[in-house]
Amino acid sequence: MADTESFYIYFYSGHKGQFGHEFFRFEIDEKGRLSYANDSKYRRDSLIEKSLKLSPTMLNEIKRIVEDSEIMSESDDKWPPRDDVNGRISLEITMGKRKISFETAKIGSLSDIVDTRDPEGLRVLYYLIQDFKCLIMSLISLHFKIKPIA
Amino acid sequence: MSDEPSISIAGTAPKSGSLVDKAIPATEDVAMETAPEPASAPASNPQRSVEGWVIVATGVHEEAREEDLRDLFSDYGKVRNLHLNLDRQTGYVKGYALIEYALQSEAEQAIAKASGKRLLGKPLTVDFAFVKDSRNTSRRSRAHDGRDSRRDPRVVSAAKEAANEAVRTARRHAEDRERERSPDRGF
Repeated sequence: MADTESFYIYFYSGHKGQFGHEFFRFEIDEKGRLSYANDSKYRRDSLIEKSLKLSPTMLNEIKRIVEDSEIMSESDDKWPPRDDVNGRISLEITMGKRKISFETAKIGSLSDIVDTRDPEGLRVLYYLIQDFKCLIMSLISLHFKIKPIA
Repeated sequence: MSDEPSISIAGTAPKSGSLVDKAIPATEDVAMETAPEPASAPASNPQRSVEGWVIVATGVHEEAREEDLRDLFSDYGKVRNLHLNLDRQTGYVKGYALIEYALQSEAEQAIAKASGKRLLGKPLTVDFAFVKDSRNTSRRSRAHDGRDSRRDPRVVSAAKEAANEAVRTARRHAEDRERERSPDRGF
């Protein structure tokens, strides 16, 4: 996991429903630039778009999370196709010479994947997305948000 | 509440009996020895966040508790915010902690002195979480980077590289963005 190797993550999760097109998207490039966008028509019209630059230490931690997840050895061949009603997930990761580009239907909960043809692979995807979202939300809220006065 | 540092724990906390039992020997380990090897240099161009300076600790043991981190990092200043996120599958600590201080000097102290310390036997790596962005522009204005930078020859090559990258990324995901901007077109 050399610091200089090429690295890129793109993640999109969204659907079109009751509140219009709602989505969560982020990308991280090898220089550490994190771009984040989130849009929901529910009680807020505007697209939230943020961009910041992560330190090399933070970027290395993200690489470690990707490595440990073993997502790079999965394949989306047997995953359910994208679902335009219930939403889709796109995940693209480049790590050195390895590259994945996955697209599937949105996973609402683990029970959605039990009956699929690749529950193990989808479980890896599901937890990686959860961990990513958790990290990204922490980074964005610590960097941009003012603590609400309660 | 505004004075009270907030703690955010994502996921379900594994407050199992085993963790609590380990709290006693763990407190011993928390009194850390400094690692023999010097810590790597911190990010040279840290970026301030809205309310202070955010640092990241990696190599955090999966059974570390908030109190362990708070105790350790309170030695360098008042911890204004602490995020110790959990692995969503196992429920244990994912391996990193984000800590916010009000002052840059506090963050610098923490990076200098906590780097390499062992928490539950695992050495920590500590650094600023965010660095200054040479192209301090939003995604929307990135397409103009190349044009703007022509005014300053010193940044042309960096900006060119940046612009090329922006174009590459923009092309790759133009489809997604188009959908996002035009909710009626669906996807």
